[in-house]
Amino acid sequence: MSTLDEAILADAGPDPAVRIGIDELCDRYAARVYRFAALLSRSGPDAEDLAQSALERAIRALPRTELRTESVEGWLWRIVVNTARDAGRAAKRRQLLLERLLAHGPPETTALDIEDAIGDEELLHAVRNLSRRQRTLVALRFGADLDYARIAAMLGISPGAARLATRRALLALRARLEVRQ
Amino acid sequence: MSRTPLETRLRSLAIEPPDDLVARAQARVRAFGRPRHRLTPALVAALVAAALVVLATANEAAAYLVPAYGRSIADTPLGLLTQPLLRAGGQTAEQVTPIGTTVTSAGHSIQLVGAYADGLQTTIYLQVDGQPLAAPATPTGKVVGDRYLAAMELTDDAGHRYQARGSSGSSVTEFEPLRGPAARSGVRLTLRVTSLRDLSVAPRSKQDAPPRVDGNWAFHFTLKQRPAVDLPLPTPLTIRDTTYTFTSIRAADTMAVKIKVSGGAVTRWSQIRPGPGGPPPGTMEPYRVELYNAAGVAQRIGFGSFGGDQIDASWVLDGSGRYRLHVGPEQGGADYWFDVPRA
Repeated sequence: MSTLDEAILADAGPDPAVRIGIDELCDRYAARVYRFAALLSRSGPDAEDLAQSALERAIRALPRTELRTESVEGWLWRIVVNTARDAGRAAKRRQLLLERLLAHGPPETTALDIEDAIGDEELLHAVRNLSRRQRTLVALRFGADLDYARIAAMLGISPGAARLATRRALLALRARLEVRQ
Repeated sequence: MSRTPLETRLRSLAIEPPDDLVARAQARVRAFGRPRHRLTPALVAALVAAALVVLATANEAAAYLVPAYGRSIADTPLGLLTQPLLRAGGQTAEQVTPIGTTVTSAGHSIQLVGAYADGLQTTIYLQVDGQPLAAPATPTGKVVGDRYLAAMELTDDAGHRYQARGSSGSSVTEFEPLRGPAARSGVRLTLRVTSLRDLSVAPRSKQDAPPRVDGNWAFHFTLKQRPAVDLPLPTPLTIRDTTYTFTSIRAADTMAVKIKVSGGAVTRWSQIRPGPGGPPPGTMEPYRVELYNAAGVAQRIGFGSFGGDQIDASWVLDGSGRYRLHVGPEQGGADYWFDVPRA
């Protein structure tokens, strides 16, 4: 049993069981899947490809049994993250340079109010220039809108480590934005 | 828990999915089918109906908003070419020459939907048995591609044979650019598809290949080649212990750059030992190349081969205009500006 399965089984509470259909799946999750893909991918077209593939896989794999709402989330995001992982592996096969192997030291914090000075496009551009792992964390947290427990389950780390790694990704992002300023 | 302004900005980023995202995903499921035990007639009917409604709605909207698109889908087979498919090759529907010839052999019908040629590539679009055309594998890697993999050859009446450079299925195949008379005038081209492999049939073992159907699907057509321009080559560049010599920079709807690498980076590359984890950190940094438009937006890489003594890469361009090529490490690399004229 995977860490994620255990996390799903650990989801207790009065969550009603549902049988989700194709239309409902797409209505409820397509936008979030695309947000995740947009933050993880290097470009807009790549994001579209990833989101399309993830949705396609999810539609194909729709569970036949009823699931708790929380379990639907876990099931779906496991598919989406696996699709992204496969995409990353395919990318490595296709071009060795995709993973940028950047070594970032701990960024220095400054008091710049960069959040107000940058546009959405520039912020997205900066996210897309983070390392793949950092992009994954940012995409899961702010694209898929998952909590740290679920991010941890996806990545096979503890919730504390997920929180810390996400914090570091944000610091790296801030450092990049400050350089651009 | 309090959120930092940066977290708030990330959550509120304006990221809207494309209107046809769900329709494309559903159309691919419809094309390739779900596992047999999960299909029911009602589900198939609902899925097909839903996909058709969404696709029809999207097409009507696009035709209303963009008259040129409306003409193309009404008058030519180019309506089969999806935006991801065209974007992968850097083309627009208007640039592709519509052909629309269908040949049937060995029980399969193949339509030559259209073709495109410029000084950097020749691209062929095919439809097999009425299946939706699938975008090719991309740098991020499409997981599911075409249903069929087509083996084909492209020749011209002047005796040239053109090598295929990339295909992940049957829908789109890129060949090397036309040469000789075919590049200058309308010399007749012949595309011959010799076999199809059905990728949807699971092989019986890991050693088995997907089942192959041999046939003879031959198409004759002419193409007008769009010109590619040679851009000025920068003088050799030395960064730390590595020297970069630019050997070719050409642009059409894509931009192709070839650089010969010598010195320390090549030595370190040759010392890489195969194993898990990939190359040691920093090994690939000297081979970093990026292309940005004037607004600073990174261009989509179409093909890339990096390592050893060469960098060979091409990008799909946004259009004519100024572009910045970055070579070498992000910090300490060099930037070059190029003016790409309209092809």
